[in-house]
Amino acid sequence: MSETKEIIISTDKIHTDQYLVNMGPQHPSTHGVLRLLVRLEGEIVHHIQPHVGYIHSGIEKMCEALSYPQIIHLTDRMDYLSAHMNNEAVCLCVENALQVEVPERVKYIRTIMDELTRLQSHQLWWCVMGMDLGALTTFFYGLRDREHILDIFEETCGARMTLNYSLPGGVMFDIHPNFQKRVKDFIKEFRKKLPEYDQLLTGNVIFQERTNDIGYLSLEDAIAWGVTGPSGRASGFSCDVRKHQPYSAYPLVDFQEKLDTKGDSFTRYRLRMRRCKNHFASLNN
Amino acid sequence: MTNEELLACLTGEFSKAEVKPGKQYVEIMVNAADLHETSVQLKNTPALSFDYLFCLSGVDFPESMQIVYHLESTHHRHIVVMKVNTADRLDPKVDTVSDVWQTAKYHEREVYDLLGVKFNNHTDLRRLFLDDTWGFPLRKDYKDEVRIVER
Repeated sequence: MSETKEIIISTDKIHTDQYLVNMGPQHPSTHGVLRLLVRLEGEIVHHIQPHVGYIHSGIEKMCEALSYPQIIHLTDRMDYLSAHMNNEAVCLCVENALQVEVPERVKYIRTIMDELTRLQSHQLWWCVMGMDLGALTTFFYGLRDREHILDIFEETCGARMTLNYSLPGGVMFDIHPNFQKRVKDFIKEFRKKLPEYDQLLTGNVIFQERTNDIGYLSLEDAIAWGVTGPSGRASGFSCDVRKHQPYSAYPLVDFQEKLDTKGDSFTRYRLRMRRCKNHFASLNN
Repeated sequence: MTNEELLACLTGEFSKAEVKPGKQYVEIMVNAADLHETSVQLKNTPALSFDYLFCLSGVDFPESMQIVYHLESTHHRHIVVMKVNTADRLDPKVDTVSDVWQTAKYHEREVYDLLGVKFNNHTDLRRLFLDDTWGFPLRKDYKDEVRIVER
């Protein structure tokens, strides 16, 4: 006769060993090809070892043999979502070294282009953030509205993402005659659409649960690791280069650097959304 | 602090280093032996408090490798450029600053990967992008077999 034992299952008593999981480099959520070696215990991440460089393209080495105007075409491939800022950074560097002053008009054009680039970059960020969390609709909303900015770019400089628009000493062409009107129309339209974004994603319970109090980054860590941009500012790190070391026409633009102190994913999200509104203000001037 | 005040302050503080007004930012040239001590001082002196390392790069000069540190104080909002030359160009070695500014951990790995500068006391000095069979591609004498454009 066999003895029967009572088995009690309690979830907090289950013991799992730590194990290594390889994530990436072609994982859908590691945008831009990143490989992470993750040490897990159940769902707790104990350690991550990042392996970077899967799309390192050796641009520095290539630049050694190219002239300055040729380099421009490489720099917008560094980040195809902020192509114009990368172009401009090289231009400003060359102009600074050569002691060349660019015309006022160029400064204004570059600044407007910067802000449009930032805005479309944020739109893509917003829609893929939703998509990575399983909310596919956001992807369509974001890309639909982003098209308008890309159209404006295309009309002026012929390219939609890798603009190649700035050159040392100026910009490649003057803006298209329709430019001003189209930008103003876009701002008017998009201002109406931004509340839709909030309705669709920001207030969503699943989204809140997965971002609120998740991924905390302290101010000390943000500074020590050099986390800049909206991610740093969500931890209270005042690091807006447009405020601290303003370039082009930024000294003349009236805008506020948005700071927050909570430092979790949701704060970073909200800060980027507030930045979108900020861009309108900058563009309106 | 303004650049002039910073210049005066640094000259007084670091007698062994060479401080000069640079084109855009104040520059401080330190000896390789004093690098770590100077870094700690730059970060921990309350009047300076350079807590944010925003750029670390390596430069290949004919006689030596140079490591350039761009530092900012998030409190005082002043910027300094610290430079250090290694003693030997072919086998360059310099102390790590990754225990002072954590972000240097990865930047130093990059400089090691592309220029072959070894950082003493670095806890994890592996190549960042390339595998171990590569040379150091950003050295001026590196020969790229695939390159078509030569200048």
